[in-house]
Amino acid sequence: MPLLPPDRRAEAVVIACAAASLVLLALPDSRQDSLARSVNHVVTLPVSRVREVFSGYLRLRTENANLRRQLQEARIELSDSDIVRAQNQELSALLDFADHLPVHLTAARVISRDFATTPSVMIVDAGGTDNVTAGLPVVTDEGLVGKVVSVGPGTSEVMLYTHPDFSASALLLGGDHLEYGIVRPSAVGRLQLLLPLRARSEPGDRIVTSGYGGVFPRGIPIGQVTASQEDQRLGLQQIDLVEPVVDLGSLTAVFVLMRGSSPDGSAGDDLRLFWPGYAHPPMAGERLGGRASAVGGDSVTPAEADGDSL
Amino acid sequence: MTNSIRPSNPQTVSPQRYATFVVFCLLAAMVLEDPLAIGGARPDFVFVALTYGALTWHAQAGALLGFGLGLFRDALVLSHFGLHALGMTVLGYGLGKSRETLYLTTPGVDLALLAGGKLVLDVLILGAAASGSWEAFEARFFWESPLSAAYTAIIGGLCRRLFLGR
Repeated sequence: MPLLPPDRRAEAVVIACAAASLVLLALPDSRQDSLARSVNHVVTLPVSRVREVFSGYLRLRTENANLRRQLQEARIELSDSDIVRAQNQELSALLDFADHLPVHLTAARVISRDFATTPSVMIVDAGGTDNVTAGLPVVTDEGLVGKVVSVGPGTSEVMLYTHPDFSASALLLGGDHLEYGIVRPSAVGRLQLLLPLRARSEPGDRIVTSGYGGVFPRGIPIGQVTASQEDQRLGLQQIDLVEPVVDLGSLTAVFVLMRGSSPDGSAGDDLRLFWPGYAHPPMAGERLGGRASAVGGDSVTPAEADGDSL
Repeated sequence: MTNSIRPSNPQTVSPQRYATFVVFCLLAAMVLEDPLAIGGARPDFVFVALTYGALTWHAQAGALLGFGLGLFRDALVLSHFGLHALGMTVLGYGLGKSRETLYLTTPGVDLALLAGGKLVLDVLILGAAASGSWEAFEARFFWESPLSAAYTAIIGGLCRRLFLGR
């Protein structure tokens, strides 16, 4: 026989639950508090764990985003500083070079170039207003770049030594002899030096402009001989392969060598330039290895400058 | 023999679905009630769970649910441990009985029971917590309880539509 009739069970349950609640309420405050905290701990533990994990995830995500941003900024700063340092070194070298060369130089920035594998022309930001005229040599502190072929008010077009129409009268500085020839572009940004068959040359010999021809003064470095070969077609001349000293791909600033601005007012056959690391090429009649005559008051002999003896 | 009139359209919520609904309400009570508070009014998700449980399974289940959910609320409040258990036991029983006796089972009636039950619960809780001080009771009851009851009814209606599909 059931203890309670079915229609009174609900009342019995509510009375029991209410009694239990009253018992809980009647507990001393400290006991009530500890009981409430225990139940609270059990009840809120999963949520607090989830909340901790979630807030930790959010915090890590924010921190990760901040660190990524800082890393990006640091990379950009590092990249900027590398670029600035490289530009600084390049411009310092150019300034130092311009100070020591006994001719007037007009500095110009490269503002455009063709992006072919081998560039052949470029535009610089010096033009007619800077007294630049067509035919003037264009150089860097390393050596020959090309020559000005057309001039606008503020810009000039420069034919690079890789241009198919480029050529320059050249002087090979051998160990104890000089050889005259013509430098022309070859394939893939290299140069070739055309010499008479009787000429002697060895890999490592330096090539400078000879000063003959009226465009380039004597002594502008062009490159170094890397190999010699005989003209296969006619057998009338010797062809030396020349590695240029100027890397056209990394060129950002150049100098235009102004005509008639040398101390003696000329820029032709009788002007000899001193380039860092190069000796003054001897003029006709002078003995190779002898003391070169200085052009300008601040010129020094090659031996005094860098110990290079030719 | 009872004189109550059984509803013509008995509730058909499965225990599994209701259990899911209760879990949601308990989580919402811990996580959502404070963010959802507007002034002193806040929805009572625990009471929403109790109301729909009592209306579905009537007085006996309502009383047991009220006791359990009341203890949960007491554990969250951390004062007068057992007070919510007592109040919600009584209300669970009352809501279950009302479903057994009321003929109407429309959602509007459920919402009215929800709001009314919340108001009665606040009277019980605030009255007991005020310990006989009328000023303490009215300071909270008249500002918070009617709005909280309406808010709870609105939230309860939304939850019912989302979880119980009625």
